[in-house]
Amino acid sequence: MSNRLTDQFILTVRRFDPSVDAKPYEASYTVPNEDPDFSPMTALKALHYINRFIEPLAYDYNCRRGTCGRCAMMIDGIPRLACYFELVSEHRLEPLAGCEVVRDLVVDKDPFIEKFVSSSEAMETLESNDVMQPISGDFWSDTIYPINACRECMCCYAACQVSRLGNTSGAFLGPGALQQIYLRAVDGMDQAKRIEQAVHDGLFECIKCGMCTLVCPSRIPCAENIKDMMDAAIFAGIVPPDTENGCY
Amino acid sequence: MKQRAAQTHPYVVHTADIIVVGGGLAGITAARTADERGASVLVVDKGPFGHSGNTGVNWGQSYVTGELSTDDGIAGTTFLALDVMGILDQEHAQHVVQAQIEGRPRQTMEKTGNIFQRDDDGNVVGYVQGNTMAASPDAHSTGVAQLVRKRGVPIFDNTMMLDLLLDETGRAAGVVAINLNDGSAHVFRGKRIILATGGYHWAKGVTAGSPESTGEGHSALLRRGIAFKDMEFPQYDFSGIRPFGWRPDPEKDMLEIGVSMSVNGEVYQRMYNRQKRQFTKAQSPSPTLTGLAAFQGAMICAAKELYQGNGTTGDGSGNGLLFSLVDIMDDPSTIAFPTYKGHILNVEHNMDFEFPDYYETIANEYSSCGTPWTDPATNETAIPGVYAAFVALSVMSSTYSWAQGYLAAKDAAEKVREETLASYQLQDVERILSKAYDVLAVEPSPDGLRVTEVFRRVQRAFYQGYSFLKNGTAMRSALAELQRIQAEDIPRMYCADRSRRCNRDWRMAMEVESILLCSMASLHAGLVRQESRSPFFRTDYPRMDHANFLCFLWTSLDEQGNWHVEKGPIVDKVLSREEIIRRLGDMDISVPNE
Repeated sequence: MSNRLTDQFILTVRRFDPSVDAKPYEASYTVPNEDPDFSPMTALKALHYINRFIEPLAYDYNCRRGTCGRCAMMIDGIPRLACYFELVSEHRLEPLAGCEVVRDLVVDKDPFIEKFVSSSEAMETLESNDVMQPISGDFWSDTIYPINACRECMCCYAACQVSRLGNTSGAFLGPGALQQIYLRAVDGMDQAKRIEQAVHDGLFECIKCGMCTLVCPSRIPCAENIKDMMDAAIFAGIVPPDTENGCY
Repeated sequence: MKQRAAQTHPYVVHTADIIVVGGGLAGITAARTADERGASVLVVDKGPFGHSGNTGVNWGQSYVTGELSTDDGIAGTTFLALDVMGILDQEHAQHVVQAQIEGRPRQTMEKTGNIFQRDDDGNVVGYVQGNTMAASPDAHSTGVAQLVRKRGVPIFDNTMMLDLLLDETGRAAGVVAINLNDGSAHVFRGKRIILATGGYHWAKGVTAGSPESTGEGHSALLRRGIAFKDMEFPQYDFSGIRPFGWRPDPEKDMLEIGVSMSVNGEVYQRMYNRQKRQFTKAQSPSPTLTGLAAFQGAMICAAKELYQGNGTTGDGSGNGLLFSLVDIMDDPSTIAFPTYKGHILNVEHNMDFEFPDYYETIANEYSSCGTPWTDPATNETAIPGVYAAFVALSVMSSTYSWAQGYLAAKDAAEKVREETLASYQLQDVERILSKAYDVLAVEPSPDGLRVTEVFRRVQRAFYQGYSFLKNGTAMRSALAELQRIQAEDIPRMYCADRSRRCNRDWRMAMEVESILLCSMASLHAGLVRQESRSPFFRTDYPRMDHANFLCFLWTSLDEQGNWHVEKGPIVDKVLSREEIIRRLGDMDISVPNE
């Protein structure tokens, strides 16, 4: 049930307008628990309230219901969608980690988008393939559909310690884009050497901490899919020679 | 690219053969099609590319296509042309179906990353023998968006079009736009311009559609005197009909958002669905249609939440992204099953709660809108070089978006080979930019009104005057209120935020005129349509009137600021007007008796 235990929420928002401010600062806002009987107060609603009644601030959103992936931000240090996060009492809102801040909670996700683009999700076949091929219905529901549900919100990148800190070779494609390679590796239609591609794209840099799976709003089993690809790579003997493989 | 140091407002000029404005399904398709055909193309998108507008909200789902037609698209055309929403531009429907057969949208999406749902036998869901139009619940266009980037098409996203630039002869020359992230001004110069700017859903506020859909394309053409049809049918949205779920007192909720429930809206909702089912059954036994009808019957949304522009999520109190488990979970044949099952699982995962028996869901038919006259085969408007790919009035919104983007780009890519760039007047750029930057310079004052409030007043007026059950009095008073806002409120509006970076107030200030014009056009057309016809219900004219209103109403604005509405014939190439009348039968909502 929605939170009826409190009359108000306190939100600390990290604010920064690079065109004006020398450095980021924090501002605290008190937001009333407007209508607990009707609906829960989400982080996005609180931002609407602050923007409308307290002071203007910058944040991005579109769908208001978890399907566009645009309102991703750090809430209490964890990457989440603001429209999906129900406030409890006091919270800290910060821009999505690992991204350049455009202003306040708006960030530039283009570097991550570039990784998605570079993973070449488009099907690659030797000959023109104009027939939509049969795929097991269960396999579609269990494996393929979840990857279709990726909203490119980039929460997984914000949670991925390897992408942000430990990307030693600089080649690590990151959890989100690796899912696209995985999709093509298992769809039974694509004929490119996707596992090899994943290895070249830093598959074995992943430390399998599982954070990407934990934070994914679409419940994509990112880490499990990455592990599957590692297994396939080892089976095929295409582990890069310089991989210590200590984590594996 | 070169920097042009204008006296007052500096701007950057970019040049391409084709300028695509909008990054939704239509814009993405137009960009890909033009690029594949060798034209130089660039995209100007108001939101983050691939995530903007209504496509960003629903990602082009429920895609219906006739591309594997076995009858050369005949049944598919009938299906589209007789869409009960009232679209009767059958010639255009023919071109839309042919475009799909030629352009293969489904295969493109599957190849670019969205693998379509398979049934137990492994076949693509919806491809049944003999069914020439098939729907898919999840036709994500993100893969296509990635492909467009990969092909190197320049993307200028977070960039909002302010207006078109035309040369002295009235031919397309470019568009003026503002980068919403940094406030910089841009002129995109091109031989042909494809307006894929979507609808104007946000004019009403109560919508499941995108807040970015504020009708920039519509208003740019309306300001130039271009006539629009179907403006009296604004984006149809169940949220306006029955915004209740678990709530004990739905009437109170509706009153709170300004909807009078004095007449039973629910009955009309049922009548609409019944009529729709009867009609579709008469013309085609397609299982897709049955699925759609069942699906739409379950489409009710929490209007208050969305009206407030709020997020909707779930915690067991019955709001937001909660779908009727009764109708959808138990019936896997419902086309939307997997998508919504996925959403439901997501809610559960994120919010950590159990599902009781939910009732509320998002609205579906929110992507259709009024359209200007266009060449049915190419979507070129009366302005040479400007295409409108806004989506015709239809339930099959993604089908039309895709096809209109495709048709426009195909034609444009052909024509630009022979053409040269048109020139535009520097003072036009200056005038457009001054207007945009001036509002940012207005000092907040006690006499002024913050733009957020002005914006909301427009939304409120339009929603109250043009809700599900309409009548002439309410429409006239809404129109008077909108005229008052135009004359009194807009001149004194200010932005509470003065920064040029990511300024929501400023964006709304640039959008407000668009939603105002679109709302006014809708109201003017609605006043003339003195009848009831699903989904257009007037309590003061409760009967269908085929003799007078099985027609298009062309709505336009002249240079003096006067509105005109003229009747025009429908395009009944496939099924004659008489046959349509026979099948539609009569409808009378004066005595709800169910």
